Amino acid sequence: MKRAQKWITENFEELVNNYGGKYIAVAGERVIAAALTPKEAMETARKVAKEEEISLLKVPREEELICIL
Amino acid sequence: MYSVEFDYARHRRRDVPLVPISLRSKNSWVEVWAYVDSGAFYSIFDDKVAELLGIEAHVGKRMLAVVGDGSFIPFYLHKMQMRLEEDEFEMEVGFSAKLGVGFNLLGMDLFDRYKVTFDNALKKVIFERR
Repeated sequence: MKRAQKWITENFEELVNNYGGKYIAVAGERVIAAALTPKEAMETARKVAKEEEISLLKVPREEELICIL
Repeated sequence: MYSVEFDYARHRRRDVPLVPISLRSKNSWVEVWAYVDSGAFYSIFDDKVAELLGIEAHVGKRMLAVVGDGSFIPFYLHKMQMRLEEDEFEMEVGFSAKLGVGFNLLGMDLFDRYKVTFDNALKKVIFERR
C-alpha cells in the first residue's frame, strides 16, 4: 500500500470524527483539503500538493457507519 | 496471477473494507476511495465525482437501484477506464445524485474480474485477477 493509503486506513476513525460528511484530499500522511464536493477538494489540493499523489475520500458521518447493514 | 490487498479501515471495532480505485478523466487519473459492497450489483459513485471527472452524469443509461428503506434511486451508467493499483480495465460505473450512503460503492460487477476475499482474520480485502 502507498503511504497515503496506509495512513487513511490507520486514521479512518479520526477522519470520520473530524471530516464526516465531506470529501477530503490526502497526500502523504496529511489531509491537504476538505470540502463538500470532490471538485472543490481536488482544486484546493492540486494547489497544495504540487508533485505529490492525491487520494480522494468521501468521509462518512458517524451515523452513516452505524447504519451499514 | 495479479493480486493486490488492502488493509481494512477500522471504526469503533468495526472493519470497513475501503479501497482506493482510480478513475480516468479526460486527461488524468483520479484516485477515489470506495466501499467494497458484495451486496450491490453495480458500482455506484456520487454524481459529484462525475462532475470532477468532467462527465455529464445524466447522459448515461438510466437505471434504478433499491436501497435500504425499499425506495428506488436513479443512477446513470457510464463506461469508465479504471485502475486498481497497476491493473487497468474498462467497467461500467453508475453515478447518482441520490446515493444516500456515506461512501462511494464498488459492487459485484468488479467481482467478474477479480476473486475478492474478505479476510477478517487478516483484516484485509484481497483482489486476485481471474
